[in-house]
Amino acid sequence: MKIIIIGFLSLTSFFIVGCLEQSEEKIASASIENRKEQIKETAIYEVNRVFEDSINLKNKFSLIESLNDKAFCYVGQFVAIDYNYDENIGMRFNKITIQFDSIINDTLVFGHSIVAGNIRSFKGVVNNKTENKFLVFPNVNSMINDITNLNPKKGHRGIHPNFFYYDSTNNNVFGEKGQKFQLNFDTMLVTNPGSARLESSYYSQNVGDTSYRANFKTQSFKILSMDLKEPGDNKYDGIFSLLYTDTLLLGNWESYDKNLEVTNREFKLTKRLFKYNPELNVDIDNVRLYDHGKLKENNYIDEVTGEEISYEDNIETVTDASSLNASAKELNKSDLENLYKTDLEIIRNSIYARHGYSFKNRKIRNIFDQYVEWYIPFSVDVTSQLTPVELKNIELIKRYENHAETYYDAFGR
Amino acid sequence: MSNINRFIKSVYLLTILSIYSFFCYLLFKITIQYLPIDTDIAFLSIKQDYVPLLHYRVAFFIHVFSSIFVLLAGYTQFSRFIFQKRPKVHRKMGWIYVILTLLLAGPSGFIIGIYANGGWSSQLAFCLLAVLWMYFTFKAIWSIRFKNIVKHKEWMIRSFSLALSAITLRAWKYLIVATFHTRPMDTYVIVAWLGWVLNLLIAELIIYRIKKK
Repeated sequence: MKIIIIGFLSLTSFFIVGCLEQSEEKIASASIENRKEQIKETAIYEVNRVFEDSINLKNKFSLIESLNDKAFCYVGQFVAIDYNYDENIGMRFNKITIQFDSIINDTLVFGHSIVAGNIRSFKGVVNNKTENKFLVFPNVNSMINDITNLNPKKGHRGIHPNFFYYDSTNNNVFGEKGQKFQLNFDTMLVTNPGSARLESSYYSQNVGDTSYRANFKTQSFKILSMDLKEPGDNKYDGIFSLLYTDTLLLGNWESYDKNLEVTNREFKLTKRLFKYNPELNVDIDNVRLYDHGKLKENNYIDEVTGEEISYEDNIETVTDASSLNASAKELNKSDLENLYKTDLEIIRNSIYARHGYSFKNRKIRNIFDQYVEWYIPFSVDVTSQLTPVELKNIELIKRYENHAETYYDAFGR
Repeated sequence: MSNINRFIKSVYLLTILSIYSFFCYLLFKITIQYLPIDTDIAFLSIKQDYVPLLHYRVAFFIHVFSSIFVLLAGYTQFSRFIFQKRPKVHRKMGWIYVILTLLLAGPSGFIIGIYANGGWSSQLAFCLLAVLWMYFTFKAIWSIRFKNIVKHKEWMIRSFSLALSAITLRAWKYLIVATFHTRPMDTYVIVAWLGWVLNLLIAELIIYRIKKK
């Protein structure tokens, strides 16, 4: 009996030592989970077009030249408006790339758009009537002060900044303490060039919708306007009406078929250069999975009251996805065997994303379109461009993905 | 009164039997995944580093296909009816259990244990499990050679508790993943120990209670 007891004690200690190794990792991932950054504030405002009389024809031609620079493309969110919100799908926006292939006589424009795994060509004319229009934007990094809280009763409890920094190159607004507010799309901004008035609202878990009003400086740009038509032989074809400045392409898209679920989309695209870079990697902690994610209980601690508040969301933690780069080095099984399926999927699909593959798969598309800043949908077939290391990694990761899919939560090993 | 007792007892035995059959059926389903012999499916799909090794392949398939019979043969050994009324069946099934354990499932379990996923902790767990299992089985057969039925029974309880780890390990894995959503390899290391150490503790408890009587 004594021997048995001693045997058990030693076994238990082996078990504990074995667990210790694992628990270090768990502590690391738990602290990330506990980050209070789960509150997603959003601020929405819009840029209005301001017209000015003075026009210099030279400006038009320099803009055409800039448009004709085929090294660049225009990338940003293609945001659906006026549609029935479906909780299982979430916000309808995809990343879109617009590229101009040729411009004839400074007026006839040919190009193509790439979005959600589809590549569609378009053609159109530069509209001469609109050449004397100007666009007004808040200054890049201009300080927004003089904030008036529109909902004093609702507000003041949560984290809210006294002023914002607005960066129009990536559409981000930063709060006083560096809090980042993701803009969905610009909604309201009316004024004369030189200064502007901002009305923005953001959503916070513990406060609800909060609105602010602010004044800040603006900057104006010369523009070109054009209407670009897709051929119409695809169900999802339509017409782009857009304005162009040297660095921005903005406007809206309307489908020919008015019976589609989404018939109207807005976009504000920035000028980008697509280049394959194996060193680029995703940098994400949590992703919100719509049609795939089961609702899970989440907790956060209210900064002001110190209360722990729990809510349900389909957020999945993917802390490992950022730590492995399947384009830069050959991965082995010990890198992958302890990962969740979504992490594996992100690691594998990052390879395609680096090559500019436009994803058809909704789950993957949601992740890369929303969370990966550097990602540019550029092509619908990248198989010929994959490097030998990438091909090897894809095969290995896929193996673990399939295994996780079938066996992760099944009775078995 | 005794009728009620007997009824409760038969319901109890029937429940145990049906739970056991259910798990054996699940194990059977896992086993037939590999038929016809496939080296790139299920568990083996993430063991491709070792699949080229002949001794690994042989050990793996021996283990997979012998284990289900070990469980079936082992269960009959604890039936009082078979033991008292059909001692020949008890002896024959016992021999099947011992031969399968000592010559096939046990050694093959040790070999694949060396290559277990999850690092040294789970490798040690599985190898130790195989060694103890064979040792207990051997002790059981050794004590019955000297007609020591009490000792034989004790060692067999220990041996079978470890054989049952085939079921408990997988059941723990299912439960842990369902409740804590743990990472796959963390789960594996936990159940590598939990799957049989707890069984052995329960076996010791049972032996202790029998002794007390």
